Amino acid sequence: MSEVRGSLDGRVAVVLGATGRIGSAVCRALAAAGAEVLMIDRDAERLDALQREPGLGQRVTWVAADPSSQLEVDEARAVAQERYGGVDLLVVASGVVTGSAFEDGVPADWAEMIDVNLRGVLHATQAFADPLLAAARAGRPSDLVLLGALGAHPLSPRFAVFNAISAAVRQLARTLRQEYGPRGLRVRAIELGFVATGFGHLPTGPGGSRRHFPHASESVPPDAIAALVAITAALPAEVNVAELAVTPTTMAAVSQ
Amino acid sequence: MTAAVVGRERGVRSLAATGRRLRRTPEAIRGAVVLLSATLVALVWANLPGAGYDAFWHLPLGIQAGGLELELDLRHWVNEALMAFFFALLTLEVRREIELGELRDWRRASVPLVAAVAGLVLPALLYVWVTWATDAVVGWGIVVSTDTAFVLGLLALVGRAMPASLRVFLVTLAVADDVGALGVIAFAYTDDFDPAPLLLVAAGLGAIAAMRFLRVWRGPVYLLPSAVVWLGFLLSGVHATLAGVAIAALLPIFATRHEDVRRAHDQVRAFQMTPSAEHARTAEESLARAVSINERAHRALAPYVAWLILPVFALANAGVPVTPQSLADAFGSPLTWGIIAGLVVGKAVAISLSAWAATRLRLGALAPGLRLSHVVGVSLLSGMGFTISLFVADLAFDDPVDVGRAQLGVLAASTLAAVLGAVAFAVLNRRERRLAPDPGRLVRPLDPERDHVLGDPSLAVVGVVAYGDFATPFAPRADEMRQEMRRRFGSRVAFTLRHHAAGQPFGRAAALATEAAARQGLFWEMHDALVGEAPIEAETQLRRAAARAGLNLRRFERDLASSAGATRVDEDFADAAAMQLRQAPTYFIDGRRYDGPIDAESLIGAVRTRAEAVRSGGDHPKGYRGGPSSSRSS
Repeated sequence: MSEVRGSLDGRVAVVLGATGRIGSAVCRALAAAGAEVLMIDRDAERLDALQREPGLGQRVTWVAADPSSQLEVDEARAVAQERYGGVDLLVVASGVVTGSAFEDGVPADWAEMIDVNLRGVLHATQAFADPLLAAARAGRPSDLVLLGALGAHPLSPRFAVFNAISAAVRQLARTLRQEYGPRGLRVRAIELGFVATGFGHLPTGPGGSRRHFPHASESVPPDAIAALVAITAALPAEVNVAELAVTPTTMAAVSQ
Repeated sequence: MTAAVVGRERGVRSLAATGRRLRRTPEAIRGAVVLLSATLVALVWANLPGAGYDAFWHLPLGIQAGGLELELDLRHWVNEALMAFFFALLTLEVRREIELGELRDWRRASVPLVAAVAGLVLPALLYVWVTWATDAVVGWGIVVSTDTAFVLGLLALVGRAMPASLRVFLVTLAVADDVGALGVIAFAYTDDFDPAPLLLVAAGLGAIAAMRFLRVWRGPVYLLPSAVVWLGFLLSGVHATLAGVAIAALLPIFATRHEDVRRAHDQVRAFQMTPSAEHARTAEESLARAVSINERAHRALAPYVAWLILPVFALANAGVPVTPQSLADAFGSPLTWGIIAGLVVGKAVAISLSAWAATRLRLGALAPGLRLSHVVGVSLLSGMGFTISLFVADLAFDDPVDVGRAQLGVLAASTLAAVLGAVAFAVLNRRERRLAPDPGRLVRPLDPERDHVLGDPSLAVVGVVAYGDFATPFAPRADEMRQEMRRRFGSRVAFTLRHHAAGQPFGRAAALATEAAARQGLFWEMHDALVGEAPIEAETQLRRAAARAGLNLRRFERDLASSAGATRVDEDFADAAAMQLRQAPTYFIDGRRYDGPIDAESLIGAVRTRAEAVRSGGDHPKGYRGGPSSSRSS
């Protein structure tokens, strides 16, 4: 795609939810732009397969960790610190989507979404805050990128809880920007209209039928999102693209 | 209510209290009482005309198998066969202390060992000096040994306020001393030593060692090679009770492993769900496996030794005929005085001096809380040669007159040593009570400003303070107990947890981890998480527990690294050491140490009793509510 080769030379990126559709595209794009990438996700086999992809190889390593586990994410942070001496780009692309008419909603599904989509983001952000702020303090560009969903989409009235959580993450990004912007850390929210199979790593639940995934009819290609991640990260340190709303062209504008 | 009724009520109450006290009397004291009774019976029996004491104990009793025949008289069966179990029991205790307890530290074991050797040599020298140039000089072996059973029993009786480590000191001393004495019996008083049967001994011990290596855990399998070892010792002319020492020294001892306990738990659960014979068997097996054979053997032997073997031994050996003439004769002979000098003076001087010298020369150290004055008391008691001395007297002399003199000497020396020891401990007890804090009393009252308190101390009726250790495999039970108590008593009980590292390598780290968590207001959550992780064997478990407790890991690690809360942890450790707490958890109910069994039922019973006592108004809470901080309403 259109990321500039070499634009992220010397950057160390960590991608949570690296084996999902968008996560893997982000890894490819960041590596292509010259960053070292530490890929984090639950499934070691899929991580390994991803690393073996041609063109990724040398630039990426991985750690298997459950993005919703504070301890495992923190241990992944320790690995990153040890391998690369620091981290200056964190992309949180992990998330699960389940939906149904609200009165039919399964509380366990809500709990899982809260765990992964909200608690996971909180843990990851907290765990990596130290190295990200350290890079910012050193005057280097440093990015915290939260990939989220555009809420209140006309196609998704059945995703009330998911949308509520997405809104929480959006608020988190806005507030963290107030807190960390002055300290040189660029907090960025990239929000998408629904993409083919949701975003990030989608675990298949038992029975499967319980889960309702968004329509696949119109979506933004993952590569395009990945390119945006790489391009915005490559901007000069004093510029932050704070929020991006990315939709298929045909989709109606979204109010937030 | 009239004064008479009050008086009667008080009388009833004190009677009930006496009953309770008797039931709570330590095993060792009851053992000593039985032993003493057996001794008195033997003395009376031996002095009743025509009662046939000697004739009875000389009844021959044999086993014949094919061409092999083994015949001993009744007294020898007691002294050589039954007593092997007694020595086995003692050796098991010493082994346990060496591997898991007090004597793990060589510096601590060395003092009683040095004292034991001195206690063997000096009394013998003293005896030889007194009886020099008489025929009686061959009886030097009479004064080398202490009657372990009697001394332990007496210590339990007169030394109740003494630290527990004194008993360990005495057991070590006594076993070393007994091994020495058995050696003396074997080599100095054995007429026909035959080394060949020692091959049998080696074979039997080899078999036991092999089974131990293969981790055979079924007790009865060890019986056959044990019998072979015993027979080998007997045939060789070496004292057969050495078999007990040799075998017990080989029995495996290990600290209970958490995974074994967990496996046993799973098997029992499986049995619970499917109560079949098959499951019953596997459950039984896994339960037995979880405890080392040393401990199971100890448990199996202890009642027989206390209630059967030792009383029978006293009965068989203590029957000394006493007449005015024999008394006059005995106290005119150097033999009797040699024994008295050797046992009463020799033992006391040798043990006290050598222990003093060993600590002075820094060969070793006494256990914490143990002072030289304690050792002096024990050394006085050690003059009770009694049964073993009587036994050697029988071997050493052929002339019945000499035997009678020796017996009277032993009797006099043992009585004298017992009296001196009792007086010494009466003095020590008084001083102990005056000087040291009462070990049954909580040294630092519950302080809501300082302690981690569950429940509201200003509302609670009873305060429970637990000294716990999360690193031990058995912490989960402590936690369950706490939950059970909360369930039963709710806000009527204020529960406090303090730190006590019962010798666990990660005890201090775990304690510091809870203090670091307390900085984030999550002491109890961290406690529960650590309990879920127990036993703590690695640093990472602390982090995992921290994550589970919901801590901020960065702050947690920073606080842990800077040892935040170390002062409090070390204060707790120091308090626990001062109170000589040995097990974790140890509970204090309203400032009084709880000594009953550590299970939820018993502990809750004790708390309820206390709560009722407080409510009836007869008693005021002690140990907390005392401090100025307790009036806070927060």
